[in-house]
Amino acid sequence: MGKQDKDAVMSKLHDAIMNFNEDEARSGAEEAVKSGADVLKAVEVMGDAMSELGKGFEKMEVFLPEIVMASGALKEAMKVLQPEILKLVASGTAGKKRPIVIIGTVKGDVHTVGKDMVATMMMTQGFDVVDLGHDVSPSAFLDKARELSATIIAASALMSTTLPVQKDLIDFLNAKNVRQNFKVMVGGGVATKEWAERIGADGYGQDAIEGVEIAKKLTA
Amino acid sequence: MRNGKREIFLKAIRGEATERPSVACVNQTGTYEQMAALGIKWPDSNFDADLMAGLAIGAHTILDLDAVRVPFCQTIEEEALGCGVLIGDEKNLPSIATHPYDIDMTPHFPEDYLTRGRIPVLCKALKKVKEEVGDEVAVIGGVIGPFTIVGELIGINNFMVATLKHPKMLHEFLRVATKAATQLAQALVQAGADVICIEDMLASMDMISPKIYKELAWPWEEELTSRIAPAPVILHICGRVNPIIKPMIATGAAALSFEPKTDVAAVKLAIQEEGKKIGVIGGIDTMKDLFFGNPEIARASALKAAEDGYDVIAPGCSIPPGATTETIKAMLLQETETC
Repeated sequence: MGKQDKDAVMSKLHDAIMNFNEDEARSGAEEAVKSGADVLKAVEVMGDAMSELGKGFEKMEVFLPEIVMASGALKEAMKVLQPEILKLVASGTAGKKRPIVIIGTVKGDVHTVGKDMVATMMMTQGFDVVDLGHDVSPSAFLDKARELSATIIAASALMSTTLPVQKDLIDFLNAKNVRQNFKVMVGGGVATKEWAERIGADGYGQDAIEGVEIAKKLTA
Repeated sequence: MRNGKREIFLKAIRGEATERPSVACVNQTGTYEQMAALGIKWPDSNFDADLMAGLAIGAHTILDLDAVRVPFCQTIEEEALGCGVLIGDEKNLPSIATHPYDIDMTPHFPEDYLTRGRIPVLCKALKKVKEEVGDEVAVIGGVIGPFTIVGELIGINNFMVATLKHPKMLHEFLRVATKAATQLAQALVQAGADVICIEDMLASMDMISPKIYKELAWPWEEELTSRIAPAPVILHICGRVNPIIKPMIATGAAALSFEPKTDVAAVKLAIQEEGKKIGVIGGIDTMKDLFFGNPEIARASALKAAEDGYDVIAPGCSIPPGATTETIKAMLLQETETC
């Protein structure tokens, strides 16, 4: 397959995300693998499409159902691309080491929509993301971060009642004398930059796009 | 004779002039300081009618607001329709843990709906609130909007996708949810509620487009509101609601409640353009003013809210339970300060 065909595959993946089309995303990913295209580039292209949608979301031109469907399409493509990325990692040809992010919604909180968006965006931007889901205790964050030698722990909270659990997490890491081993990011509907600073977090993202940018800075 | 708190609130929600700004919260009002002062805590007060009523009345006796409301959580209809609920603890409200339906299933409305889960607890609590303080303050019964109920019945991610891919498959779910909200609202009115507040959180523009709102949320909010009449309805939607303000007005709600991120001047203009007299509720940022803020910040926002023309000065959503009584009471303005 020539350069033109590889470009066409990248274009197909980009459009599949922009059109929230799971089938096209999957077949585009399969074509990318078959053609020997750069799978990391393929993920990046889809990430760029997600960022475009994210910007539209900020301007109220794109809404959550579209973002959720685009994430679904991206996940379909990743089912095909992820094994290829792992092969590259194993062979040492994946380039720069992909930082590991442990992400979850804090203990007592079951809201996951925003956290899922951040996890998806991070996945497309060079991070290996392990999503612990919702109602995640500080010890569960730490256990997984230790197990996988993670770089970032990212904790989401949607409610004022669960926001203090982000502080509990940081206090817990301090008490265990492991705080310095991880970068801690916080976010969610009720979190603010001031709150993040007050509790000693390393980063705060107002939305998924900003969250990824902060994560990149923290791991640069 | 001067109007009391109840009369002031009931006039204000209809957009009528009052001798002082009405100050209230039409969403959850429980705080940890009230719980400590009253010796009534979560989670028990989400499951016991007397305790629920006792803590709710704190909004009058401790916070000095013009209205009290039950319940505190947003899970009662969903639980009665089959959702699994985490009961919460002293700090956290009950939350939805499991969603009983897939989009291709047919929802079932249980004929014994009003006796299921905590619905009898809620109705009994409202009756007790009415008996104890109903002559002094307005009593608000809270119900969840049909669109939001359906989101919990099938899970929010699946629901979001369905609004785009399978909107017709949502109709039966919305019909069942509207029936559930209607029956509960009517039961609360019968128990003594002066006002019903419909919280339709998922109908926010932070979640869906104006088109989806108009097609899938609005018709059922309108039906629900009409079935609650003649009792007045407050329609509360979180997030930015400017793009849907005219349909919100067209639901027939007596008053609209929203967060300060919505442009209130545009809302007032829209109400004027529609030739309606509708109360506007909000102006206080729950996190910046009440949770992270202090009495000075809350008071400054309350003064600005009065200046901006809010009919009821209120938090734009639920009071953060960690907010202090002193900060919340800083919202209370005297007649000499405004109007």
